[in-house]
Amino acid sequence: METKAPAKLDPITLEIIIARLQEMVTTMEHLLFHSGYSTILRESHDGSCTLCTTEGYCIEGSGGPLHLFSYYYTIKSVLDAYPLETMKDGDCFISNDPYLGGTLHVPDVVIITPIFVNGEIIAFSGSHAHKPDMGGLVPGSSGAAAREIFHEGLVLPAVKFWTKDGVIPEVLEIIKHNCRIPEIIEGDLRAQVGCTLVGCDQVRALCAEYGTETIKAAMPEIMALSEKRLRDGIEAWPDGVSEAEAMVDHDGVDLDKPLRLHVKITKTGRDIEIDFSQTNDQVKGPTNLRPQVSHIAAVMAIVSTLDPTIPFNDGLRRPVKFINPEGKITNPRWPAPVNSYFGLANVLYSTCIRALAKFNPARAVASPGIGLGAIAVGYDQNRTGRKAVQYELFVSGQGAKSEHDGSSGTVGFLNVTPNTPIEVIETEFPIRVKRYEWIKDSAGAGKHRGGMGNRKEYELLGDATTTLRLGHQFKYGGWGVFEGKDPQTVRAFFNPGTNRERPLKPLETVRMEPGDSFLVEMPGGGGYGSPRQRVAEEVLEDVLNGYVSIEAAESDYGVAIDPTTMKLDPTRTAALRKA
Amino acid sequence: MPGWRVGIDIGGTFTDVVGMEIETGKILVTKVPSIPADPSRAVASGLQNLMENYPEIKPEDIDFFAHGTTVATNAAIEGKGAKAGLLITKGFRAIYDMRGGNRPMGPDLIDTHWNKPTGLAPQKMTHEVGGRIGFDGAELEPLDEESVRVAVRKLRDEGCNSIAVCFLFSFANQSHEKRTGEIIREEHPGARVSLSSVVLPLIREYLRLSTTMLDAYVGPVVATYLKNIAGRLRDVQLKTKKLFIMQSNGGLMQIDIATEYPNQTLLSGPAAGVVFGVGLGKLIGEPDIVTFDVGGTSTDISVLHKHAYEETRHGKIHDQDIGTPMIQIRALGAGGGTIAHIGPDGLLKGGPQSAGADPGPACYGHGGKNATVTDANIVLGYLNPNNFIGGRFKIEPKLAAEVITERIAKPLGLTLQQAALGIIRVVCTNMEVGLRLSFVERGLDPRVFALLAFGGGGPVLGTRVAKDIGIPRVIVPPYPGISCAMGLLQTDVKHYYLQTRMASLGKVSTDELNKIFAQLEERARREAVQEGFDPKAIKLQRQFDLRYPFQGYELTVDCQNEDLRDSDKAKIRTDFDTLHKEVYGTAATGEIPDVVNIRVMSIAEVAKLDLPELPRGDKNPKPVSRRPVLFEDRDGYIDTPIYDRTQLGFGSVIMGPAVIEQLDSTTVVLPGQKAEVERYGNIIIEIGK
Repeated sequence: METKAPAKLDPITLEIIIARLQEMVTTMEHLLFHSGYSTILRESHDGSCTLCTTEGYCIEGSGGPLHLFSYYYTIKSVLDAYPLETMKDGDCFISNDPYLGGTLHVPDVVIITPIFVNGEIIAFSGSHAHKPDMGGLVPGSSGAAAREIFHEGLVLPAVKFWTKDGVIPEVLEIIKHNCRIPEIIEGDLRAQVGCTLVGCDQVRALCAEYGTETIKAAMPEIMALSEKRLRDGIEAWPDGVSEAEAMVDHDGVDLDKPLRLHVKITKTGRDIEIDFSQTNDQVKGPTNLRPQVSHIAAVMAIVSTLDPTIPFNDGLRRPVKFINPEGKITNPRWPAPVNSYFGLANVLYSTCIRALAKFNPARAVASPGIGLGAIAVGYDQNRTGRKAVQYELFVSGQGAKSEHDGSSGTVGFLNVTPNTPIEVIETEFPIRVKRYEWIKDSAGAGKHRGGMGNRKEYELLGDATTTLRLGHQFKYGGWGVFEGKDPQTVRAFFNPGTNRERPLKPLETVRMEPGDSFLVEMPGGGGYGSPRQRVAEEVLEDVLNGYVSIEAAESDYGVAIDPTTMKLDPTRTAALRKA
Repeated sequence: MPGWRVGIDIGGTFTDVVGMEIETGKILVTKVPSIPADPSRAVASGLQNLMENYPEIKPEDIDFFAHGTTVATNAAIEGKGAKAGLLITKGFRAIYDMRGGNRPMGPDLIDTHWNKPTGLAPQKMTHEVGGRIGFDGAELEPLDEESVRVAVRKLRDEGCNSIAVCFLFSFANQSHEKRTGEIIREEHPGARVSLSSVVLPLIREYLRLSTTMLDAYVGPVVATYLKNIAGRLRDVQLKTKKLFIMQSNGGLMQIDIATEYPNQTLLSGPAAGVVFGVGLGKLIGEPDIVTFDVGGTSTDISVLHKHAYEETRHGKIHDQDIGTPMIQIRALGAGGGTIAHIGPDGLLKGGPQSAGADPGPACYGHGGKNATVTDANIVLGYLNPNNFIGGRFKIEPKLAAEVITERIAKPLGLTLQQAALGIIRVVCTNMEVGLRLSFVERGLDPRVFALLAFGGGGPVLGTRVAKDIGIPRVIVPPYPGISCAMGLLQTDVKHYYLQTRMASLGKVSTDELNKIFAQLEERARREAVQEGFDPKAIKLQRQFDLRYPFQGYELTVDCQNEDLRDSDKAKIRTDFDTLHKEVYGTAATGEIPDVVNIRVMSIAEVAKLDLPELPRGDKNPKPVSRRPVLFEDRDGYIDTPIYDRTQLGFGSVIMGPAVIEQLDSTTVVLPGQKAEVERYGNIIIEIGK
């Protein structure tokens, strides 16, 4: 059902209110990252802030949309436990339950704070931050051995965490007692509460300026505007059905059993239906996606294929209907483990984009280097003698496009996760980064080349338990389009270049000692168009810059380069390209 | 006896000069064309011009010389910086291209067609150097000097004349970078060297590297310029030691010091305009102002809320990340010299290329072959061809009409007038988008702001853009064309002296802290003497950068200026907790903060702007002439009254349409708008709907 916009506000006032709300969430986010304690929060920015309606709909949010649509489910679980009329000014609620609430996995902890204006709750402010550890089987709480959500750390249903007098000490003590790095978790939670309280103050100031009723009226209008833009765009596409699928190596348990992700997209008029019913059944290992994850991957694929400038808010979900039966990998039954959702969600997003290309071929792109992920290194002792967890997120190469090469070294999927600076890693943790470089020939060749893959190597200086959380794409990787080539897949090694070298498996947890090293190779993006059509000078430039080898220039691109002069050989190139 | 201060702002097109008599506040101004090939020549000719026009100013009477320049900015924007190379720690090639792995927020985040901006040195100009410093500053591997030499020779042979060096942990131990700098000077004496441990000695390698790369990219251009300017100032017999350049952070710095820190001058020109806006806003009681500084090549926008500008420690200059603290300014490639052209899609585009000062717009008659905004302004009658810069600059209206006809009107099948209006419309739209974004970023409502229009072109277009985006009032200051130069005369000389000392506030001894503070203050006083100030007259403030033990970012807390005793630590803690609660919403009162940096801020204050009040003028002043002017949404040229600004007084009122001319700028009052001169000579224009 399409929502009709009430359209009570004039276009200037509404624009200003939107800008002000955007500014508020941006400010909240800045405060969250700058006051947080863990490196995953303050350096990798794996967190977000939001302002939501009293029903839980997200109106404005900072950061990646992956977090933003899940607030709704968490707020609903808060309201189930604490009806609006029981809430008091200064209360804050906490939850990290992917089943009752909306978090993506257990380490994601959400704080929800009602915004009181003259005694009435008019909205919620919220913050979401990935914790480096919430207890469970391994440091970082996310390992292959998990078979139930109970193995993935302390799960908090929606409970009250804070009142006007400050933190509720009993709840804080339960949390601190159940994780490996209590001081860090406490500091991150304090930052999360703090920024939501600042958000409350700012909304109150906005109400004083424009009137509470105006602000309340603006919220549904903001969602209706995004919904309308999405529906208008969908309407312009041809009606029809499109399907796509991709494979994922395994679930971390049955190592020879690949998983199938499948999507069938039906476009009719101003609506879209997403059908996951031919996707793999849920699995024993932790590679299950809660619906809040699988749905948002599909919705954001639609938005990015259609028009990425449409503002994110819960209005975007309304034109999309899901067929997503319980028991699928995209909608697992409780208490299936979900800790390694991220790589799969990344593949699902790319699969949806692949299917959507049929409706909008002009925006077709090669896939990014899929198989994104993270490492969690749990140290027995950090530089100051305490337990510590280094939780680091990786980036890959992006897919090539109709006009340009793919970008190198970013996350292509719904989240902003800058590199943790090497200098911060080494200052905080007993580890040394040995190299961080591009991998020659890691990108898919094409008329436009994929973005480059990258290699990062570490050497341990202390005892640690390290878990790889790499999206399982060691075997099945990304893809090129329109004759563009596929990129390299993920690889990882333990003690590379020594006689103890061995490949590492996705989701593997390894006990490491000082002197041990490990290496992660993140893939590049897929190519677009035939590599034989790439301008020869661009191929030469790639060789000079170390992105493409002379051998690959010849075999993939049909471009001959003289290795002594490092100049193009036009005669041989012409011959190669004719063949 | 010394009695004058001189401020000079070097724009892309004109160099503005203002002299102020310290005792009386008397202001004398002049303007000369910029010389982009050697901007220092314009400074010398500007100074000479000032002293020739006003013989009461003698070189030995000039006690203070401050200038702002867009030399560095233009090099970055126009891609005309040095061919620069990069030396990095072995194994870490990806750091620069990776750009922190970041991706912008908003639509770009999910745009599968997004392109990451490229850096200032490609991989083929990037060389790895062996050697490694650890997190605590300890040397883990000695510097591989041979690898430095090999790399430098390669870069030299490639024709690279500027080298950036950024090694891991150089902020903790700068010996490897320092030695590398020495080797570069041996191997390639002609090259300029930018060491990250000098440019921005702070943790987080990517931002430090990117800032260092910018420093290397603009460094040779700035160094040549500063060397030239020092020579020129000697040539014109200036005696004072107080020779300053504006920094991006809104404070002045002595030019000898500036040679070492070109990255700090990237916003030198526009920063002075913002400082001017703050001073003027205070003078006339207008707390919310957006500065709209339209020069020959660019437009600079800064939003001043409650009399204050925003400072950023992570900015961008033309897509390049920079960590140098600077005033938040949005720079657009749109000004009087901006070239209008027809794009590949057959649509009319404005910029970003500029005709600059040489050859300049076609109507200058210096061989300019492109249609510019100034040419359009001439065709439309906004500018007076016979009175451009007081008639000292010859304008050929025929050339303006020809170039617009040939380049724009004919290919698009438009009349000359339609084409000229089209150019203005396209360029103004670019400016309006920039203005709106500046408000949006701060979450502020343009409807309660005043637009301060300055730079030669601001008052020409200001009334139009204000009308389009709903800003109710435009302020045109008495000398709009030289506002940045005026700002330079109101700027304090500001320095931070900083010593990193990481320790728990609870454990570090007050003796040690007091010793560090004393050393920093000693340095501040010494440099003040070098800069020509009485060390007793400078204001010093002791500060701490503090954070809770696991945090990654600090808050700066003022500390008493008397030596600390152990009992004083409690107050520092309380002050920090209070500030933390204020900023972040909560405080960890049970935790003892860590000290990260110990700072001393030194300010040598310069007397603030004190414009003399204007005598009362004729309420209905007489126009000096009339000419036909074409306005959007009017049919044909309107016979429009022209006023001479010098004939206006306090209380003079002019109804639009009207054009007000003066030496350094022209104000266009649109039909239906009302302009009134206030007490200090500023024209206030009510925009209406």
